[in-house]
Amino acid sequence: MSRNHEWLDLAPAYALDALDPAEEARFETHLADCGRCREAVEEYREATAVLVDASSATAPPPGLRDRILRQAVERGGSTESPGADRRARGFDADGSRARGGWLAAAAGLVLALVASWAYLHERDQRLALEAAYEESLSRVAEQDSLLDVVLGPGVRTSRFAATGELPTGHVFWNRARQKLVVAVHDLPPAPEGRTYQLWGIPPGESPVSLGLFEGDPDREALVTVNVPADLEMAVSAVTEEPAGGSPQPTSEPFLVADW
Amino acid sequence: MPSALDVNEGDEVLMRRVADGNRRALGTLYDRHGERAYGLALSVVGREADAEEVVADAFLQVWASADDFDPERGKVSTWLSMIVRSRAIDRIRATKRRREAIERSAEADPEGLSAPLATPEPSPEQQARRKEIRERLDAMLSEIPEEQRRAITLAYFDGLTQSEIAETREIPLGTVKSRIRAGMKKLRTYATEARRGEP
Repeated sequence: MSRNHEWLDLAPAYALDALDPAEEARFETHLADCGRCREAVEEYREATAVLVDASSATAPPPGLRDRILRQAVERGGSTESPGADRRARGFDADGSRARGGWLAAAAGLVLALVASWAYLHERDQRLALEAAYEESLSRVAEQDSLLDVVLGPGVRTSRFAATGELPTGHVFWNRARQKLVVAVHDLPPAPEGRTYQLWGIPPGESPVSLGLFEGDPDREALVTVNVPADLEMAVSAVTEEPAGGSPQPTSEPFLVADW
Repeated sequence: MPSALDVNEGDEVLMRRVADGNRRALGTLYDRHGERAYGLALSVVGREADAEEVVADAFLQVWASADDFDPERGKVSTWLSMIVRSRAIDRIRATKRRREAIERSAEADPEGLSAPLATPEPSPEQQARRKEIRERLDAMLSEIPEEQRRAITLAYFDGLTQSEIAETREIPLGTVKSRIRAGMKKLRTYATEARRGEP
């Protein structure tokens, strides 16, 4: 058995985080220089998907999604990674908290009860304020992101030519950030069971789907989509498609912008 | 402000949008993977309130460290599952440490306040869910011997190292290592064949 083969034997347990700390540290040192073992670890990790399947998808509590998105906005995008060192989990010698003994446990219990009472008392008011704050932060974050795209260096602008009188609009292409911003006025919401689909059309080639949008009741649509870096767009266009979108346009575009 | 999602947009594109600070993309990621994440968290921690905290922590970690995701090294779903499991194991280990601290306090002062708080056994929900998982794994992986499945389950869902499994199950460490190695190889084969069968 080669030396490298012995290391490979550790890959299955490593993928399960089941190596003892010292062995794990040695294996990680080896992994830094061994592509074969890294590949094996990745394969074993992919295989653990079977274990996740066995644990059975379960509907999370209602409200969890909103809570996560609210906290994400509060934290912004530059929060330090709390799990960057996920390998260290469980070995952080946090047992030092135990040394306070029963007195600390009792004091902690009393504090927890007081805190819980205060929390419940103030919760409703705080939740309302948080919701309003979150909405404001969200709007500001989205508009900042939009301005970054539209006002960035080298942004190209084109005007939509409508096949009818309405709607009208402009389109901004930021190639450096691979983003396209579409602003359309006087566009009614897509009919029931239908959606609007945005296309990028390279010269002499088939249209490439860039995204879907529904339109707003106020008839103003402002949409940001990603554009593949290698897409050479000659034309951007919008069609109306069945809900869920189409692989290729099934109707004539009602908005067309030349580049 | 509406935001478009490409019909063909995959998880990797979604992760790039999350890395750009796109909150809607994070919401879409949650819509796609939230149930799977919550099921996994529940399987490890047992209690719904704990599972909710785990999933929240995990998605906020994704939000904070989406740049770390490397599509060359695996799928988004695998990366997310690793984070969820890691946070869940953190949580049960923290609970275990607190419990041990309370037990030590109780030993030092048997009449003290901390004694009634010690709850060394898994919750009934946790036991029931583990039983369900074992039954599902038995059905899915019938070609993997039961003792190998058991060793893998203890490592994955209980967060036990090979030495801890050997100690708690009172079997030689070498036996545990052999079982995990052999079982994981079969699991890899099973997963590869399952992927080939996907449309």
